[in-house]
Amino acid sequence: MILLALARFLLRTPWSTGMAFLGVMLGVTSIVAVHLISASIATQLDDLIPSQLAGYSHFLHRADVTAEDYFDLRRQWREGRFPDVEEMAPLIDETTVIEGSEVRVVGVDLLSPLGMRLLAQDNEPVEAGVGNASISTDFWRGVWVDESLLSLAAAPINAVINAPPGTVVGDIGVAQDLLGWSADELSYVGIVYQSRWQDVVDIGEHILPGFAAGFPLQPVSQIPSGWSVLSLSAQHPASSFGKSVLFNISALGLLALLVAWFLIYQVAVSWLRRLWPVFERLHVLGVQWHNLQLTFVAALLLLGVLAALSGLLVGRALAVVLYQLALPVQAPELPLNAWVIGKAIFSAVSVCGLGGSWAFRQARNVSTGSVVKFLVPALLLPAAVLGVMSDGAGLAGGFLSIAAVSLLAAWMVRPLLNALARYSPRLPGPILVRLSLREAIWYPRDMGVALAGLILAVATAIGVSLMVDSFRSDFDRMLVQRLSYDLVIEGRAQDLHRLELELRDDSAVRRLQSYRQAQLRIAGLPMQVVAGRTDAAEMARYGYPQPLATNEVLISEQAARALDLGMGDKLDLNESAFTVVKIFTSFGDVTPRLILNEQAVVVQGEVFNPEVVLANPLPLVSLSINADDSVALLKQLELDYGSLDFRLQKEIRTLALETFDQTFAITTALVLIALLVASIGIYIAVTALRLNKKAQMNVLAAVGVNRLEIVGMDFALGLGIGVVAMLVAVPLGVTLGWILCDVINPRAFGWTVTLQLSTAALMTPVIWGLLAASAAGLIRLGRRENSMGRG
Amino acid sequence: MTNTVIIKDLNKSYQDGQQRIDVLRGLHLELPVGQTLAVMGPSGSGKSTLLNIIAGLVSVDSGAVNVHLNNQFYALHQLDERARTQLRRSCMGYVYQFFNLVPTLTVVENVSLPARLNRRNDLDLRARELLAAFGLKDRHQAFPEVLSGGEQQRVAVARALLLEPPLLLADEPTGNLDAANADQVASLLFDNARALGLTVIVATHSEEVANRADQCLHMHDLNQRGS
Repeated sequence: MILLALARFLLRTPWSTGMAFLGVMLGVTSIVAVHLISASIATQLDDLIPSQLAGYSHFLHRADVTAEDYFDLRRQWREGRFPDVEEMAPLIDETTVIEGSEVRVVGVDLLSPLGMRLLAQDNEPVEAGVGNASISTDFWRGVWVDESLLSLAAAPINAVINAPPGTVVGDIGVAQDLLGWSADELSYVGIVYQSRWQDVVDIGEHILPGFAAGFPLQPVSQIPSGWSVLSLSAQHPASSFGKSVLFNISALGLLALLVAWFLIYQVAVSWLRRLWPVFERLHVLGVQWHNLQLTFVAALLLLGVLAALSGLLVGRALAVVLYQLALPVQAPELPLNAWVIGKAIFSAVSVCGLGGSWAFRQARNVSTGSVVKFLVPALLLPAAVLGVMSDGAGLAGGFLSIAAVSLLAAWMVRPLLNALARYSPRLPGPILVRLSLREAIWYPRDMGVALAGLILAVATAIGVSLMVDSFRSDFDRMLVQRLSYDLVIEGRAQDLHRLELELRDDSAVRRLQSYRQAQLRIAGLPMQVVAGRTDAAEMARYGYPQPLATNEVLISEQAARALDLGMGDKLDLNESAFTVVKIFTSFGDVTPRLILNEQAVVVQGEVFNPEVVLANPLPLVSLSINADDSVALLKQLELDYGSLDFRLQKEIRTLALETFDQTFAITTALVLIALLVASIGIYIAVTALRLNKKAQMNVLAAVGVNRLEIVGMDFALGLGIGVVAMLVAVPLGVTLGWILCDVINPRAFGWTVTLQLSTAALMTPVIWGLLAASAAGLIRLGRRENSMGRG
Repeated sequence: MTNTVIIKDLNKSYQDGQQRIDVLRGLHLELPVGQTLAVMGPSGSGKSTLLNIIAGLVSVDSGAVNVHLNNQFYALHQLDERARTQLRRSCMGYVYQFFNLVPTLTVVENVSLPARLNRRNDLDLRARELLAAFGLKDRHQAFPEVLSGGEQQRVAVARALLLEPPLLLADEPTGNLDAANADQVASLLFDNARALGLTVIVATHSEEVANRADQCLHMHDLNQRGS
């Protein structure tokens, strides 16, 4: 009966019920949209890893891995020294040039469990093809290829497999033959490591796609010395990069839910204020407090479930829009599966249940113990510092810091309000403004939680804006530096050679630069090695002020991080030492990069010299040109070289910046949703405050305060709330921006973004926050009761 | 003698769900300048409604409410809300039974509020003098939450008197106080109003308060005269 009465109460207060519904629905919308986008992208990222390697969790590496090393490790494994390693197998994974194309050669032991899985897969038999004749007679010498290599003649093709373009998979011996290696050489020993936390991480990945990127599990303690452990993600940086992006977005998606929780608390406080006299009478009549609490929370849960169902539908629609905004060329497939439905309902129910219960406890004056109050900052502060200082904490550590700092700021709201209230008698200004500003800080219990919600939303908006703005500024500067050529041409090496010879004598061409490039493994890690003419003009593109000598190397920030190298350190390549003379920024790179003087890797002309440092030749991959009239040159060359791909740098720059902005559209949308939910929270808090102020309003009316002055007071109240929120939100936002630029970005992507405190990035969220708070103060919808007595 | 308040054939009713409640029916009242009037009657008889109508806080259904304040006649029933508010701000004082003070203003700010609204910053000293005279000299910078009920009502009376308004309205000003405090507040209200020559209308249940007024009328009588 009490529940029925409460349901009637919700229906009779449609405005606040609607606001609560909207807030929770927006919170759910945010997490549903993020989940659907993330899950879809995660599936695509998984496709970047050849399925033959996906079964391995880690790769053991050392200089010159041999078959003997593998058998030694295997013997130790069989003796039980690596109890959490479930499988172990030899492995080759290298990139080379075969028949003029760059090919990734993967060698697996076909008789190992993972090899057997490869044979059991649904491969498409090749009906006809150059190398197809010996399928039945010499199966073990055959290879599995993706569709792009159907014309490969170097080995018989057994079947077509689903793998990234340019992938060849074969038995260990076949791979060694294709690479020109001896029968003793291996790349790695692949293992399947089953951590006791693996199930937890797997469930986490289902709930929060990208979760695993924040919690990498490493079997370091079990691996004998002399071996380095590489994770599957380190082997496939493109996939790892994408998963890190997802982890960032998923973490941000939780923000709106957190703010929605604050909102529900605020609504519950508002409702309880009106219901409390009824509850007290019911308690006098013999109804237990816990029954009243259960009934109250049940009414909120009902609202939460309805909001969750709506949030699912709106979230899916938002996901489609955002997905198409970020990836316009792909049609999204975003199914609402059991995980996302469960997550939406669980989130809404948790938010409503916890918010309602907490508000009820507060209404009963069940205070949190002073020890707990003291414990909160005592725990949060070290967590924030550790997450930032300890690189080993990884991406999850960075976000732990963000969460800890944010909660610490939220915890500080009440003490801050109390401190401001003590100062408030000295506030200057007109009396009605003074009155309203004091109201903004006078009621910590009523306003504290809504203020915390607004603070978190604005601070996140500031942090993300600073990061995006700083990133865009660095990215733009890098583009200006890097895109110093007018025209870039890519395509087959033979065609590029031909064109290069022709352009050398072309008077319209002021500068011609050729690039050779291949993906090689250095210290077991995949790296893009680029070689070209490294004169002063070329080096200026990387911020290095002089020509690069043949014994010098430029490395990207990611490579420096992966190889643990700094300026002046030596990098050994095939027993030749190169001095690191510059570490350059390379936003957007998914693979670490090294720049070498072409004289270090090829001899005069086009012939590869095996005596120089790299064991494999670097194929010519692109030409860059500066010309007097690049557009006219482009038109002429396009006619003569139809097989090559031509791009004007101006177009690349526009495209790059467009892609950048599209990438962050999701982030902006999530922050805006959180800000909207926070504004609703402030509105509800202000409405609750007004319920307390009826008598005061009568007094003000009696002394002749007019409507315009009341509107001014409402505005001042909202603005006051906004200003108080900004006092915490601005420093918190700058801190979050710093953590995102200097901690999260390097750990997730290998880039350091130089934090720039631009006025626009800082002030835009502040102005939005102030406007939202002022609007919350000004809007007086719903009841406007005449409380004058009849006496 | 000029009348401060002249009410003719005043009618006011409220709608409560499906039910219409006639609070004031054909009410007539004339109150000369400088007179004090006590209005008595049971709860719900319309005392507060009458005061709120004279203050311009509540509009009338029909009838005429005229006031003569600062040598000007005002037909309240013809004024819009803005004009009524302005009149109340400059020419009236009002004391409620409780919740008289703004909790986020100090005692002296509460008293100064009408002066500040009328841009009379010169009255700050007068506000402090009034508070001192009312026994609240040490409470200037205190906030209302720390005052006793009697102290709060004395602050409310001081606020109502600060501008020396020609018309002072009080709705059960002692209804929430013990006998000693009620006597003190009633004395401050009537003695100061008489000394300043203010016209006062007090709605009260208290015979002691009513006995201090020049006239005492019952709501029943006021309504009957019109019926």
